Amino acid sequence: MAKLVVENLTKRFGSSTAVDRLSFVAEDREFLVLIGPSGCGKSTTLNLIAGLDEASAGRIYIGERLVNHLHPKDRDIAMVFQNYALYPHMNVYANMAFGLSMRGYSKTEIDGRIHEAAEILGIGDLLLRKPKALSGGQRQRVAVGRAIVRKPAVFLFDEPLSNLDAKLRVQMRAELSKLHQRLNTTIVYVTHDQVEAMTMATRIVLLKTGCASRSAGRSSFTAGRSTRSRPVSSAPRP
Amino acid sequence: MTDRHPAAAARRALGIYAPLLVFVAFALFPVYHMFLTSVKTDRALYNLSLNPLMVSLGALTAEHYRLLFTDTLFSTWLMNSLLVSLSSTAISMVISILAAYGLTRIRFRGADAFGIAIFITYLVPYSLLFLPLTRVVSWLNLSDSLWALVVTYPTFLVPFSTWLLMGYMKTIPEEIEKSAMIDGCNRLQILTRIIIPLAVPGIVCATLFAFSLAWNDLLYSLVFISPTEKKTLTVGVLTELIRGDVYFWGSLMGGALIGSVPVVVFYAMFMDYYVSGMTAGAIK
Repeated sequence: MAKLVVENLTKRFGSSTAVDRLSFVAEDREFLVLIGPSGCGKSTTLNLIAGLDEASAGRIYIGERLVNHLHPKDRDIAMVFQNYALYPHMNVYANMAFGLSMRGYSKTEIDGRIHEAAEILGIGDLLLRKPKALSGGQRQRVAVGRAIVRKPAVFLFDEPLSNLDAKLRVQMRAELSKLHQRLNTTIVYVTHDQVEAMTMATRIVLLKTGCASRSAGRSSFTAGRSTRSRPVSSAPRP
Repeated sequence: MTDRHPAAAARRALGIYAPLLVFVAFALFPVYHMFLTSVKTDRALYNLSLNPLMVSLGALTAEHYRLLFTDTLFSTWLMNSLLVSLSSTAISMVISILAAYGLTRIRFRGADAFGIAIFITYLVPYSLLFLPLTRVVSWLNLSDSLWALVVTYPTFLVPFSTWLLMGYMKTIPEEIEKSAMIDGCNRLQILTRIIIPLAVPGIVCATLFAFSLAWNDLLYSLVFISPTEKKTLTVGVLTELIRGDVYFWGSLMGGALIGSVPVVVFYAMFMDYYVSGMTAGAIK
């Protein structure tokens, strides 16, 4: 559990700028949603925070640490992707255990964490199945479980519900909100869906062409204010 | 209407099985003819009044196979071919897997150009490459050695295998690698623990093609190796069973038939990998 600070984050691809001097703060234990239209730089921002891409400029702090030059595995983050990104040749147990075994955790510790996460997510009876034998919702739960077992400082979610049908999406939104309350951890969640943002976030950052045009608590957005560019400011949780 | 209906069954037989039968007959005819030639006596072979596609019980003989295994170094040639093909295929696959992964996943300047260059290398006729390669083999002091083949075969195996594997690796979703990076894998671990297990069908396919190319090679073996005991199967059967204008047809065909067996066995063993879907379930 830690605070995430992003300062003047910039990412250029050749002559085009995907993220332009983006700054925001995700307070400890906050559920921060980055929302914006397609192509506004949301996923790129998440990749930069995760260390999957190198920033052209700017700083990223997780806790008190400057993490710009750290490998993804050293940033103490876990990420859930839009298309699950499960390892198809491993069963659910092995998928969830992989990150822990790469870090040298003991078998007992790994087993304990996996069963704990499986109980939270209701996937205890799926541990021996391979991803191709799971439904979309089950795969997404496994992807979330893979992140939970790591007990990271910051969770990153990249449009995790986009590939689910509408009914399942509603169900998963509620479950993710409950999960946040149970784990009491910092979450940065990317979506283009306003309903998702309004139902799950404690604070929302509106992105527009690579910049943050607005940041406020959820209630401020529901008041119907304009979303034109303004200086970014942090508003308290409702 | 079910398949048990006589009209549907007849349509199925005419539309599917009949053309398949024709194709199978066409494909297996050379094998049949080779086998028949290898078990006929010389008298039956040279008697033009007999049907060449049939053999009577009295005209059967194992003499050609006896000559092959006792009067020639056929077993040695077979082992040489196996040694050279397996070694060169293994070397080529290691190089190709590393090259394919680097060119498709690691974004360095010139990666695309390198990929095209590798493919263009494959287009150069290998029958022209043996001229400069003769100098290289001589410089390495490998003339008349099986190692000459082990180092020269990758010149045509690597480009093809790399190109094939590049196409296959591009189908593996990048998010799986990103996930592995976050889980703590470095590049080599991603390659060995994630990419290679997922690319097994492509690797098996490339390995089979590479092995076939190496096994069937004639030109480089002919050019780089002279001693009889160092020859590979293709060269040994061709040069030692054709003496002047005398063709030992029975033994020639027997040698060719036995020489086909390893490739057929490998293909039969790994056919399922061509069609298995390893990435099903990884992404929606």
